[in-house]
Amino acid sequence: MSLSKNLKELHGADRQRFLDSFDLVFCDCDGVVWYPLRDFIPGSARALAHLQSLGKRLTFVTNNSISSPEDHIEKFARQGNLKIEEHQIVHPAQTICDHLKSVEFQGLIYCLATAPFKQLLQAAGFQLAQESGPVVIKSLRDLHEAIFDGEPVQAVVIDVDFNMSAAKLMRAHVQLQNPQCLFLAGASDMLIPFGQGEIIGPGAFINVVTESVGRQPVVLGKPGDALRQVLLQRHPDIPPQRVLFVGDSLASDIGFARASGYQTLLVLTGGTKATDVSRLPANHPQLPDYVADCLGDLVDSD
Amino acid sequence: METRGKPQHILQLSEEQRDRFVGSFDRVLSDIDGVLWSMEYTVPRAVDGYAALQRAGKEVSFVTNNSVRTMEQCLRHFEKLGLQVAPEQVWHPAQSIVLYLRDIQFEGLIYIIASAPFKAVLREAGFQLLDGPNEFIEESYQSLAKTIFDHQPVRAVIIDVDFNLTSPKLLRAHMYLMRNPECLLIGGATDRLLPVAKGVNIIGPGPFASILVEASGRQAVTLGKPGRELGELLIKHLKIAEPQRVLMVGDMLAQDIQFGRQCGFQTLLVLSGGCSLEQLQAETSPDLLPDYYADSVADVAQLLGETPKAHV
Repeated sequence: MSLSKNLKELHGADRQRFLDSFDLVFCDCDGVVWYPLRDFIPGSARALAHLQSLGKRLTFVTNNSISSPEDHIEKFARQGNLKIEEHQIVHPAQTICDHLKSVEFQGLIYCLATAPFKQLLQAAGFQLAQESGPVVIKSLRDLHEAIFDGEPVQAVVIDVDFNMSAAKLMRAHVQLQNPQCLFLAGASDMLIPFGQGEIIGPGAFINVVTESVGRQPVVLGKPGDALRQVLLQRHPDIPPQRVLFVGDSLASDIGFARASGYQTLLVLTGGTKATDVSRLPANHPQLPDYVADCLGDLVDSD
Repeated sequence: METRGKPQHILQLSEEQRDRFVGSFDRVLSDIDGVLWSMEYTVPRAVDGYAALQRAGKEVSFVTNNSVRTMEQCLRHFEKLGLQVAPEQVWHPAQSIVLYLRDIQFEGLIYIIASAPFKAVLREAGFQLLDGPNEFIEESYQSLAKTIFDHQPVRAVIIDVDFNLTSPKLLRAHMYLMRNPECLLIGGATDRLLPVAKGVNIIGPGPFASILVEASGRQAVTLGKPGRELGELLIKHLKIAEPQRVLMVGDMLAQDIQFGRQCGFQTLLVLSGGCSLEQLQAETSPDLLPDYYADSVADVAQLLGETPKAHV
């Protein structure tokens, strides 16, 4: 027995009351709107169009900086026939870029992330440090070179890096010994749904640095506190209880959203199974208010 | 119940305490890095300490977490310092893992994240290893999927120090553990931080092994210090009947001292490596507090040199 309400069981006036209870929807993308890096999930485009027609404001909050905002917008248009604008997409590369601008950051950045993430920072005028030392490390001397020989940096940024390595994390750790060096993190999921199961996420690697340095990063991806503040400040006119947060991850979406006092809807099209939800006790910080098999259930009430 | 006082400096013992201490152990298990030498220096006169121990009839073995060098390199280093050490006297994770796998009659494929010398030890012992990817992958989920989803029947994942450790290797290891609930997870060195120079630490292998433990929810069999399984292996293979008559010597509280305490050995911390006097004095956990401490193993030579010969 789940303590969360299933959207399918909301009919008539109950469903109307639910739809009237929020003005703004924060919506995850991978595992909610579309299958990770693939096609739209059946029904989700219609549900999003329905929300738009009801006058709900829509903002997509994704941890995916691997696809650029342009890619996202094009995918919404081509596959979903939805008109989404760039400012409606919140993702770590952008929130980190905005943060660096807001603190008037100057200096060199050691950025452990994908190429599109790095390009976004470079396009905004930020300078990124090069890797140092040989590609394959054969000796302690090589390792020393990789860790210590690069230029000193004033910020370390960590997000998803397909080729994250011990040497990169060691260099980040050494640079962060300097208390002036900023420590920023993007996507921080410990595990990411992928294929039939889950794979180790960027959060695990960020934690290696956090524990070694003894200092917490400013986390501007889900489920980071700094991102929570950014989201709360985006719509100061809308009280948190009139926001619906939709996601597929208990830790990265539901727990994250509940900490801000948003209403929460978990969809089962991503990494979470119905039994994962029914296991949760009443006061669990990741217990969603609502559960749906898919985003399409927002429209279909049969 | 045994009550333990504060750690005592071995050169500040009274004559009676000293005699009792010297007579209280027959066997010494000693760490190497930070005790005899480090990446940057040789600990002055440390070899004199071991020579004195051997003259006093104590059996000396070395237990290191370092499998990055070959056994030959290690023995040559001892020899250069004037100490004759036989291969049987040196225990390191690669070799301990071989012994452990033989003890449990392990058969099957192993996926391994470790250095070349480490892998060579396992291959020479006849084990079948998978590793890699040994180059960076293309930045896409498609190429990641190709790299980490593999259907070969891996029955053990082994992780130790790998200078070229990457996330695809860890993700691949995690997949094997999730696919096969029987798949063993075996770790070697556990150090969270490795001292490479005075006041300079780099991230050690421990946090990477921890990623696999946390992601898989599986306990690791640990055959580096302070692993419980290493202790059992040593006690069995060295036929240690009375653990309290063994003295563990090392420079790291979390590795050497904790390991010694866990095994019921006496413990001696030397301040020639990864732990300063201030760090020792600040330590409060009884699991990490040594019985004795010394500036370096050279102090042991002085301790024994002043011991009356009459002692049997």
